[in-house]
Amino acid sequence: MLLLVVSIGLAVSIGSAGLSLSDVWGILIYKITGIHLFGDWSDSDVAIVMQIRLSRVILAVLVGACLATAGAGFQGVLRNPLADPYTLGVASGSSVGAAFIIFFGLQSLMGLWTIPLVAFVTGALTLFAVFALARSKGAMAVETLILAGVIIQSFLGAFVSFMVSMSEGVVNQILYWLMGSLALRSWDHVYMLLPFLIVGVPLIAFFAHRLNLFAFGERHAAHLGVNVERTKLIVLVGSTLLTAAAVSVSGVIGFVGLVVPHLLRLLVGPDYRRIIPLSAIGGGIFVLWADTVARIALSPREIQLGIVTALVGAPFFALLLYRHKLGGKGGM
Amino acid sequence: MIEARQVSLTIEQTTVVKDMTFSFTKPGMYGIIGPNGAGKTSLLRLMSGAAQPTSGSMLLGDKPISAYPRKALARTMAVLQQGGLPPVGFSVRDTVAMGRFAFQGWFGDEREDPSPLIDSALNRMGLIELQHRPLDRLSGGERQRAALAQIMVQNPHIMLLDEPTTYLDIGYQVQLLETVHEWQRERGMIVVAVLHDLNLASLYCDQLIVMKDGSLYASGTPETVITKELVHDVYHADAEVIYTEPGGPPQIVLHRAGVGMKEKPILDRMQWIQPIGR
Repeated sequence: MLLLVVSIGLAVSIGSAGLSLSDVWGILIYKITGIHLFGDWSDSDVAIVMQIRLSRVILAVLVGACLATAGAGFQGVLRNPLADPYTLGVASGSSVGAAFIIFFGLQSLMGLWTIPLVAFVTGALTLFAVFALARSKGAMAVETLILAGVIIQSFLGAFVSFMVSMSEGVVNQILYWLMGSLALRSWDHVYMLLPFLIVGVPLIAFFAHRLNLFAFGERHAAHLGVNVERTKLIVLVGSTLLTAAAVSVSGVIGFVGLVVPHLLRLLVGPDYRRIIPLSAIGGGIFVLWADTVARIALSPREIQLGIVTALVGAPFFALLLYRHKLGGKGGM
Repeated sequence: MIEARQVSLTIEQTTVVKDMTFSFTKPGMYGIIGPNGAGKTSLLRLMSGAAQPTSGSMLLGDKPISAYPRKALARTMAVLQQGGLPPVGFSVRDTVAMGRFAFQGWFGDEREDPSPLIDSALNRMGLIELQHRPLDRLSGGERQRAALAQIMVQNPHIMLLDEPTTYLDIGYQVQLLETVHEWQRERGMIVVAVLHDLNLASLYCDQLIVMKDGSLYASGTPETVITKELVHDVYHADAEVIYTEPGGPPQIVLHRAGVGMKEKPILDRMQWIQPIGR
């Protein structure tokens, strides 16, 4: 938690506009407490710090928290540390909706909310499609569910690629969306995402205890008294809401839902009562730093956030996997 | 008590349990025996509520098992599944503590501190020294003991065991069933166990149910059920039934298929296992 606060402070201070540390902090302190303590700044500096940097930093934290918590939720239900929002095709589903809106230029339909809403609806529809594919005799087997997710995901991936190749002028925009970015986002996006986070994270954390019992297998959990189907449904829907909300404001950012809970599992053990709240915090820190790197690495140009998380996440994940393998047979 | 009334279970057009009627009313050890594919595990799944009968009804007390919410069922009935616990990262103690789930409130709290209960279960299964070790660093036998300790803290009235002795050597097989038996007598539980080993079933069970092709083939005490004829008819194996003590439980000794007792002298066969090159 402390690490998160420190990270936010540092990340706000870094940027391409060339503001000094004392200016940034002077503005922050002035805005929070109303006291003009130090620094010499103009109105535009205030706008940069408050409207652009701070909102973006907060948004990065929220997106990371959503994705990592969703990843932990999916992993708990699927009993597979490699599962994440993308395995189920939910993120792809959301991005299809977004690409569709951009391709047909329908953004004006409902203003700022068009893309997020459509992305959310298609993400949720994808989840239902995956469920329909996986469900047999009223129960969802874990293996079938992953398989269905992969099938739907590759179908939707082809669909997005098709739309991208059909469009001319807006290719960049779609790519930008699909690679994930937090550029040109504002406080509106923060307010859009926040309710999902406030509802979603405690909801999944509430079921953490049950997810622990899931580790022994669904039937075993049932024999110990867990209502398995209800737990699966609630955690999956909660995780999907978090994923769709995050994808709606940031596009597809990979590896967060995969790496963060897995890393925490190695650090604090398999107890989901710790993993889930820590994932929210750890995911926030991870995306925040990834976005800071995306902003300043080639400043003033920006790299897509999805590229940074993949560049950092993939080798990191490979290393974890390798160490894990050396350390003995896997388990969770 | 558990009562089956003309219970049948059909999975994908195959009837795995056929029209079975029986009841376990008194405390005791009840064994389900029968050849592979006879429907023993399916029957146990019906009793545990993991499967619903296609026709007929499976009752717990006077209500069908499906009428109980999962949590309420877990307060009465504990189930040890075939294959035991998977090698996960939870410690033995945490694993055993999870057996208390059905007694916990919404936030994992319990009215009374369950630690004495957990300690005594760990003690009983000889797991005190291993209590902080994760399951993925235990042997199969130790994991099986952890699984039993987990259902012990459930304080069940009814216990269903599906082949609890698989993966255990004979020493542990006897030890595990001895513990279950002792515990059954103490608490006056109904214990239903699917057992592969007829000799163990005969040693530890008060009543046996023999299944063949999904149906009830025979039932009764080990003395009445375990006979040369039954072993032949149900398992297609030749055996002698012997009593190691008068009035004790019957035990079987196998013959080789179709050859009977008059076999080649053992010395003849010894020649085949002479070390080469001597």
